[in-house]
This record gives sequence, C-alpha cells and structure tokens, in this order.
Amino acid sequence: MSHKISVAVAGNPNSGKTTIFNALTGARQRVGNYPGVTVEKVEGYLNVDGTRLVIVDLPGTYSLTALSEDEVVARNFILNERPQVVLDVLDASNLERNLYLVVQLLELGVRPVLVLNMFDLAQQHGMDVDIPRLSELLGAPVITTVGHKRKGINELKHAILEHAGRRADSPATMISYGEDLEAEIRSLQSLLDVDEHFKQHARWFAIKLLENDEAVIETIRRRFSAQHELWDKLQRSREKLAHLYGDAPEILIADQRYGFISGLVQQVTTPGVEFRHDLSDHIDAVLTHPVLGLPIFLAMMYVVFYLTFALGQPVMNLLEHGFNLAATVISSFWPAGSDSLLRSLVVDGIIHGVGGVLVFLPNIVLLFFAIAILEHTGYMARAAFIMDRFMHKIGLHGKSFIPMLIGFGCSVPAIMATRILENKRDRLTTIMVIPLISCGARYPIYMLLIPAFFAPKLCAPILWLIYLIGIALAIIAARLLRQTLFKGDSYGMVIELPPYRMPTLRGLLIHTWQRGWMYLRKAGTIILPVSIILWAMTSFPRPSTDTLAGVTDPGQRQAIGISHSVTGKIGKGIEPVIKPLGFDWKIGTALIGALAAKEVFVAQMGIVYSLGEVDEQSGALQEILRRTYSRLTAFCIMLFCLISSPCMATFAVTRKETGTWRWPIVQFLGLTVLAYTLTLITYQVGSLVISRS
Amino acid sequence: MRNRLAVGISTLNDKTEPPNRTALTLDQATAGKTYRVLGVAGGCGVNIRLANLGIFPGQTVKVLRANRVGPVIVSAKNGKLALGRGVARQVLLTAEQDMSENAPK
Repeated sequence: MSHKISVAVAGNPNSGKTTIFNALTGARQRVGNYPGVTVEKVEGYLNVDGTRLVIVDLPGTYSLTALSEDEVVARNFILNERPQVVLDVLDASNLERNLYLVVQLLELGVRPVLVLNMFDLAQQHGMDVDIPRLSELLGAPVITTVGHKRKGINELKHAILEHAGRRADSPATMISYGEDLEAEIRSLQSLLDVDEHFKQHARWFAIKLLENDEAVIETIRRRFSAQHELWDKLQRSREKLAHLYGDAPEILIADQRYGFISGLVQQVTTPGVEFRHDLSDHIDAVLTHPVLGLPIFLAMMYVVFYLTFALGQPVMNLLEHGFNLAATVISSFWPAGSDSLLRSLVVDGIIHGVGGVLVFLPNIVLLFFAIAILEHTGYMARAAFIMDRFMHKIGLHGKSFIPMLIGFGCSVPAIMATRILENKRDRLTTIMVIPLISCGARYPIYMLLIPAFFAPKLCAPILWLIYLIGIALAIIAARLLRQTLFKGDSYGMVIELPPYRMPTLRGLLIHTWQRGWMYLRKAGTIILPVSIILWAMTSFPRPSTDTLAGVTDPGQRQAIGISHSVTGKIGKGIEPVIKPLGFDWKIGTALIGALAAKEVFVAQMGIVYSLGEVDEQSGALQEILRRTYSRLTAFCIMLFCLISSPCMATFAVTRKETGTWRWPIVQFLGLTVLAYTLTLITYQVGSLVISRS
Repeated sequence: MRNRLAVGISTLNDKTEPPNRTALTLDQATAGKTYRVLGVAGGCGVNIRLANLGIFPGQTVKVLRANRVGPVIVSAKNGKLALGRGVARQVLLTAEQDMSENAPK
C-alpha cells in the first residue's frame, strides 16, 4: 500500500454509526484499547484505489464535554491523533440534536465529512433536505446513506479520499456566541495564546474553560499555575455572565449552539415538518406500560436465558464428543498403557483441560448474541427504563442493568461495558458486584456437579437457585457498597430511547464475535498455559519406582503420584484451612487452579482424578465425585466458586477500568473472604441439619 | 440573547408571575402535554448533560410517559429520552395553557 489515510468515525449513539463503520470495514476490524484508557478501540481498514484507509470507530457521543469517559476519549483522539478525515454520522430524522456534535467538531477545528444516515426513513416522512445548501453552510461535504442497506457507501468512500486530499483552504464555519460571550472568549483566548500548547486551538480551550470543562481545566492547570491571572479572569468572566443571564455559562453556550442549529435547519429542510416514529411509540405504549412493562420484560429475560441454554446444549454435546474423539485418536498414537509424559500432557493437560472449557463456548456466544439483539433493536434502553426504579433501591440506576446482564456471559466485557455509567461511584459499585453474577465460566462447574449429585428433576431448580443466590448477593453487596465505600449522590439516569429498529444479521454477528472473542482470548492466554502449568505441577515430581513398587492398581498408582507432586503438597498444605468448608486437598488444588480462571476447576478435577486414564472424561469423573463427596460438599463447592473472584482476567480488566491496583485487590479479597465465610456457614449449618435429621 | 428568569423555587413565589402560569417539576408533569423548560437545577452536571440533549431554559419538551413511579419519558429535539425520577425532579417546567403542538422548538 502506497498511501495511508487515517479516518475517525464520530456520531451520536443510535445514529447507525457502527453500521456505517461495519459497512466500510467489514470483517477487517479488531478490538483493542486506547492506550492508557479503558474504552474499547475498534479499528478496521479498507483499501480503495490503492489507498489504505485506517478507520477508528470512536465511542458514540452526543457532545464533547468532559462528563463521560467516552466523550473525553473521542475528543482526545481527535486532538492528539489528528486523524486526516473525521466522519460524523447523523441520524437524518433527528437532525437538530445530531448537529450538536457537528458544531462541537467544527469548534475543534475539524472539517468533518457529514454522513446523513437513515436517509430513507427521513424521506418517507416527507422530510426534504437541501444537501448542497447544508454542505455550503457548514463548509463540509455531506453524503446521504442508508447504512443497513449499504446505500451511499461507495460515494462515502470516495468522499473520504477526496476530502483527505483537499487542503483546508477556508477556515471551518464558526458560531458566534453573541457579544457578551464572545468578549469573554476573546480575552481568555489572548491569555492562552502565549502558550504553544494551546495556541492552535486557543478558541476551543477558551470556550471549554467558560464551560467549566474539568478535563480542560486540568490540562491547562499543568501549564498555567494557580496564581496565574487566567484563573482570576475566568472566575470573573463566569460570574459576569451568570449575573447577566441568570444561568451558568455552559448552559448559555449550549443554548447558542442550538440557536445556530435551529436557524441552520430552517434554511435547509422543509419548515415545520416534524415526525414521530409512530410505530415505535405504539410499541412503547405497551413495553413501557406501568403494569404490562415489567411482566413483559421478565418474560423476555426468561426467553433469552432459556434459548441460550436450550439451543446451546446440542452444540455443546457435539463439541464434547469432538474433544473426546480427539483425545482418543491422539492417545492411540502411543501404545496402550504407555506412561508417556507427552501423551499425558497433550491428552490430559491440554485436550481435557482446555477442551473442557471451550465446550461451553456455545452457551456464552448465544447469550452475547441475544444481548446484541436486545441492544440493536433498541429494547435494551427500555430494559434500563423498567429496571431503573428497582436499581434505585440498591443505590444504582437503570443503566447499571446492562453491564450486569452481560455479566451472565462473561465478566470481562461486562466490566468494560460499565463505561456507559457516567458517575464514578455507580461505575465502581457495578464493577465490584459484577463478579457475583454467575458468569459462563462457572457453568462447567455446575454442569459437572449438579447432574453428578442431584436427581434429574432437581437439576434445573438447583441451577436456578445458584443463579438467584448470585443475583441476591450482587444486590445486597451493591446496596452495602453504596452506603459505605461508594457513598454519595448518584447522577440519575439519562438515557435515549432510540426508535425500534430491525437489526442486521451482519451487525449482530460482528458485535457477538467481538465479545465472544474476549472470552476465547481468555481461554487461550490464561486457561491454556495455566492448564499446562497445573498439569506439570500435578505430574511432578514423580514418585520413584521404589515407592510405586508392588502397587499395581492404576487408581492407587495415580493417588500416590499426585500426593507426591507439587499440587498435591500445596493442596495438603491448605487442607486444614478448607476442611471446615467440607473440602479436601484435591478440591483445594482445583480451587487454586480456579484462581486463574474458574473453568480450570473442572480441568483440574479431571486431571487429579483421571491422570493416567483415557476414558470418556465427564461420565467417569462424575461417578468418582459422587462416590467421594457428599451433596452438601458439592453444593458448597458451587457456592464457593460462585462467590469467589471469577478469574485473573477479571482482575486485569478491573485494574484497567479503574486505573488503580486498589479496587481489583479489594474486589479479589472481598470476594474471597465473602466466599469463605458464606461457604463455612453453609457447610457447618448444613452438616448440623443433616446430622440431626 | 434573551434575559432569563433566575431558576429556583423562588419563582413560584414571585408575585409578578402572570396568573395563568404554573410551574412544576418534570416528575409532576402529565403525559401527552407539552411544556416549556424554566430551568434545570445544577447538581452533578445534570443541567449541562440535559442542555446538550436539548433540554434547557426556553426549550419545549413533550412528555410522553409519566407513570407514578419510574423514569419519565420526554421528547426533546425530536429525540426520546428516559430521565430517572431524581433527574426529572431537577427540571422545572411551566405549563402554558395556550401551548400548541406546533410551537417552534
């Protein structure tokens, strides 16, 4: 590729921005992280006429204030990375509010390419936009598109190329904020001009200062000491404006922007045409109904989880057979009864270890797919609406529900999803309790233990019970946290209810894949090496031939082997601590492995009990477990695994999202202590009850 | 630029208020009616967040749903927003009896 162009895609949430991004990049995209921040960075590329377009999908934002991390990330990217082309995707049927972001971009000195998306819908409602005039008034090219039908995408590609090549000959359109504001802006600007850092965008910084923008204030404070006359001038300016107009300057500025937009819109669209999305309103009349809303929502949730488990089961069975087949085939490369280390590593360590985990991938992927459907149709916002009043009772609000729902799949994307919460306290609380929600990783443990210990008709209710306990604990923990550690006012929910839309299969699959990939990546980067390490720790040191002399029973040989190994020694070491919970050293070793990732529990149990055997794993394992342990112990194992920290990946992502080591450590220790305490109580009380009856 | 009334409960006591105006907070509003925003109380940047979305003094909002509990749904700048009850309480509105559906935004 001879030539590269950097492109950023901005726009309101729900404007179809991601659909446009997907249309441009297709499968050629990957999810990473913005350096130093936790917001996911979605980047893709496209080759057009020998030029490579590197496209970054910025977080969807309504404006560029400092009130949410999304907005700060978006504007920092534009300021610091200086993409050559910035696309702003607009929902054509919501022009005024969508233009608000355009105005902010213009203020940043950006000359965007405007993508008037969902144009068909606007036209259907009789809206007529004078595209050339709009383009002229804003000094920006305007392309109309219908993202989900891929209309206008080719024109967009060429507009990007053309725009990148064009040098900025005329300055971007500027809004005048009226005499009084402009006077204050000018005086601040002149004070900022002297510093090289701020000279180029001095006007933008001046406006942001008047808007009381925290991030900008902090940035400028690093260069302008607290004694500098700038701050005094700023204070006086703000007071003056507040006094003149009876409202904070930031409100006045917003007012002026919308005033400009209003005037602009009147010039380019048919006046007086305002349409409502009637069908959406009709649907909402039912879905947000004070009486019907909640039952419908609960029914929806039930369907989601039921389908996830029901549809996932056959695929899981298939995968399980596949892995067992692989194990048998590979084992056969060695002569029967062979003691080969390599075979043991590959079959017991890797295939049974990691395979036992990947088997559950279908369930998780299905859940993410269902959640993606809820998000893309627009229903998720209504779910937040319905859940809001209940969330309030635990000190959170409706938006916290969404990451928690994702938490049923995997904590990692769930914790990342908390960025939609603007309030830091809400966010931290939600991050702390998400691990209590039974994630997909624990599912293997339940599926191993429940059928082994409980009658078939009890299986579903017991599973239900475990999930409910998790949810109940999350609720209690959230409430406690909001009253103690994260005490303070909440911001309250402000969420857009987008019109209901038909999702595109493509969009759904891409979105599902992005989240599912995080789970897979965890499997590859954490579970695989840990499985191997655990296998090694369980295989070495090997007992000498003397010790094994005379012992022919494979089960006994295996037991001796394990008790000699590192894992065995560690397990025995912690046995006194976990005995009151009803656990033995073998469970202990599995729990230690499970610290890395919960699925490893199953893998490690498999290793500890079947090392040296090549049978059909789960059936045999369940048999052995049933013979060895009591029902109460099995339940306690599940309880402990439910409450304790899910995995190292959770720890890592919590560290990233909170930016400090403090919270992941608190989370880890808190969960471990809670798990130990509750399991202890359960086992002791349970034993008492059983011995009485 | 227009001069604006100072925001606050004191406006309710202002004797110079025209007689057919009543001020209420958004959580007291009636679904189906259109109101004009008098002001938004400041706490925690709520006022600027709402202003960015088109809810600020002088703007009209149409209330789409106001159940007895739970968030309030309004239409502002042709966008549908659900505002938590606490947030709704910060929005001061005036019900102008002669407000018609086609009033300019």
